[in-house]
Formats: sequence, structure tokens, C-alpha cells
Amino acid sequence: MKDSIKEQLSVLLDDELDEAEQALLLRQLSRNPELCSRLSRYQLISDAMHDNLPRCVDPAFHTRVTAALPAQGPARAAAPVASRLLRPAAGLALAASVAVVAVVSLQNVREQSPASPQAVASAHTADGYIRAQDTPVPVASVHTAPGLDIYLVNHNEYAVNPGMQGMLPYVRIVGKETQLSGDAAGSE
Amino acid sequence: MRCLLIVLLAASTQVVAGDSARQWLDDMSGALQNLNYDGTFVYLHDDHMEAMRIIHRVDEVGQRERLLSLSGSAREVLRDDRTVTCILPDNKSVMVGQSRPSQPFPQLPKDLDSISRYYLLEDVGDDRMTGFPARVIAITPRDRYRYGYRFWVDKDSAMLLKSDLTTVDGKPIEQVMFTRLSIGADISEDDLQPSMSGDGYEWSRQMDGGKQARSPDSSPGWVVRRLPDGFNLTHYQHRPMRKGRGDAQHMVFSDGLATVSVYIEDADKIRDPLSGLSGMGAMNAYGTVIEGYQVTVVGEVPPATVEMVAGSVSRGAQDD
Repeated sequence: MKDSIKEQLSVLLDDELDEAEQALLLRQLSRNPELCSRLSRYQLISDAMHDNLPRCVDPAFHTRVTAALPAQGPARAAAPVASRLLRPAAGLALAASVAVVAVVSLQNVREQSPASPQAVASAHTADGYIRAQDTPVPVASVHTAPGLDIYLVNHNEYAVNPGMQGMLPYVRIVGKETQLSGDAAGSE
Repeated sequence: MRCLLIVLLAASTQVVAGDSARQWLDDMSGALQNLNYDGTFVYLHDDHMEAMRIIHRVDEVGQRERLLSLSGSAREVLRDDRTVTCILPDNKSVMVGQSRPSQPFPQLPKDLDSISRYYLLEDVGDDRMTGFPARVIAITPRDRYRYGYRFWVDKDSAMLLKSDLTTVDGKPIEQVMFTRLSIGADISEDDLQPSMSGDGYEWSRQMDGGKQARSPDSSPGWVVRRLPDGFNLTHYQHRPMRKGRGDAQHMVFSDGLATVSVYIEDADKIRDPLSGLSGMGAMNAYGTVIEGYQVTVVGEVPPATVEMVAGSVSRGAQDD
């Protein structure tokens, strides 16, 4: 990506881009996902530098963003060209920023490793199970291994599945980007 | 006397709050099962964000639903009362499994005392989500061996608008948030059809059935000796996982909200055994080999929980 484009993005955020350049840049944003992604990162950096980021993800933040996005429904009255182009791009950037903030928040949770694995205190119970006591448990960083899908699909049907009534576990499967192994055993 | 009254009032307030939360959850469950809806949502987990669409219809035949990804490859899941079909273009495979009837959520007993030992149910209050007025319900675990939940429920229809799966400290691990939702919409038959036929794909079918058995006679008994408090055996069966792989012993444990499955199979018959920790979103798994058998533990519980459970599997009878 050319340095001149990057610079224009930065100037756009500072609201110092002239009308002609702004219109051209916004058209590029509407067609270029990579450019849009870069804009959202610049926004996040800018917010961080100006201490505008919340300490944690504020659930109401999503609501404010949603309110700022263009509404679905009947077309609005004609507006200046620059404004019409700005809204979709701003909406995309805002939505991307929301996702970035939320992702950063989620990632921070995953990266916490308060302690190395330690023996779990236990106590025998009458039914023979050893009940684990409440001791700090490290958050491991896990990956998705090949061959896991067959267990997940099977287990999903037995899980109680709070929320989404049976589909949330499948959201995890559909949401998985990297290739799952093609377990050829049992193919028909 | 005044102290007693305060204690009683606090206790009764907690009961009322718990009852209110439970009512909202029951209503949400009913809405998810009984309403037609078509929505777009984002799924946030680890360092990924995915956009998806879900379509749900109820008619005289029963429930049908379709879940499809809107980014990346066209992964989708179709589900009705009998089968669940997962279409995974990434590896050109289709998996067909047996669908179990949806259970009302959650399987909370009428008496909240039994589950309140492990979770705190709270009616947190009002919020606004996806343009709808919402009620926020929280389910907070009391220890670090299970996850919690937070739901935003539409106050009018009781539809789920957003859900967070959280650590015991309330930090979200997974988030599902609707960005567009049409409730009560007419769902056409075309909307419930897969976008691809699966021609040329590798099809695998989870074998139906499975013998329900307390302790199979032909195989050594297995027991799980270490579980978080409140987890009890809810299902036990011998079942074929996949053709050519032999039977698996499958035990299901649940505390009423979280569920953990333990699979025990002949390790020699598994081509790509799971070893160590693995996961997908908030679903974690741990695989190990014990005395020539592949032990795989799967559940929507923290990684350390599945590892602990897997490490406690051994041969023997329950009373050993």
C-alpha cells in the first residue's frame, strides 16, 4: 500500500482532508477491505493515544455504535455526495473498531496465565468421586487439533446449550476458519 | 429480631431475583424454540470475528434451522428434529449426525438450590441491544472449573439478542451479538436449503443408535474419579463413532448447565488421536492414552477442567 494512501487515512481521521481527496478516498474505502481494516486500526491507535479506550469492553459501547450506524429501511433524502459516501465507510470502520476492541479484550483474557499447573486439592465423597476444590486454574492457550470435529459434533447433541438452543455449539464449528482434518475413516 | 428480619428479607430478595432470572431464561428458551426468526450476528472468540446468519422456522413438521457463515468459505449447518448436517467446504467434507430434540433451557430444576450451589443467577437489569430494549441475565460460576453466561433478552419477544460466555471473573471468552434480527418473519423453504449440494465432497455419517448400558459386559469398566463439584453422570452408552473405528464408550457428565463428554476408544483404531489440549472457542478438549485406550474429554468448560477429568479416568468399578 502506498505511503500516500496511508497518510491520507491519517489526515482523514484528523478531519483535515479536502473535499476532493476525501471523496476519492471514501470511494476507495468502500471497495477495499484492506484499506478499511487499516483505517479501523488507525482509529484504535488514535483512541488509545488520546486515552479514549474504555478499560474494559463496555456493553453499552455496542449500543452506541449501533445507533451511529446507518439505519436499515427506506432510503433517506439526498445528501451531499461526501456525506453519503462517508456514512457507509464510517459504519464499516466503526463496526470494525467495535470488533477490534472486543477482540483485544477477549485476547487479553486468553493470554492470562496466573500460575503453572498445580496439584488440585481434592476430597473423597461418598459416591467415590474425588471432588476438586476451588484452586486457581491457569488459562491455557489451546489450538484446534485435527480430528476434534467428530467429538464436537457428537458432544453438541448432549450439551445443555444455554442460549441459541442447540445452535451455539455449531456456531463454533461454522466459525472455525482453519482447516479441520478430513478424517477419511468412515467416508461413504 | 431486626437482624433476623433483614436476613430473611435479603434471602427472599435473592430468591425473587433468582426466580426472575429463571423466568427470563425460560421465556428466552421458549422464544428460541417457538419463534420464526432470521438474523445476522457476529461471533467473537479468541482473536477472530465471524459474521453468520441463522434462520429458524417452526411448522407442523417441527423445528428446522440453518446456520451459515457470511465470511470466508461457505460453512453451514442444517438441523431438524432428526439430523444435523455440517457442510465444511474448507476440507470438502459433509458430516451427518443424529439430532437430539432440543431441551428447554436450561434444565434448571424447580428448586434453584441445587444449581445455586455452583452458579449465581441474577437479573442484572435493563439495557439496550441491537435497537431493542433488553433485560440482562447473568449466570456466574462459583468456581474456576466452569464458565458463566450473560444474556441480553429482548423485553418484548424474549428473543436472545446477545450472549457472552465468560470466565468466573466475568471476562468474555465468546460473544454472539445480533446486528440484524427479524422476528416472526415468513421463512421460505429456499431459505432453509443448503447453498451447495455436497457433490464431490467426502461424506461421513455418525452411526445411529448406541446401546445404553450402565457397564458393558464385554469391555472393562471405566470410571472418572475427579470432577468439579456438582457434575454427575447423565448418559452412558456404547456407540460407534465412525465406520471402521470401533465402538466408543461415551459418558456424559453435567452440573445442569455445563456438560462434559468422556470418550474411550481402542487407540489402535484411531488414525489421528487427539493428544493434549485442543479447543474451538469455549469448547475445550483433552486427549490422552491410558492402557492402550484413547481417552478424549470434551466440554464447554475451562481447559484445566477437561485436563483434570481426562487425567482421572481409570479402569475399574465405581466403588474401587
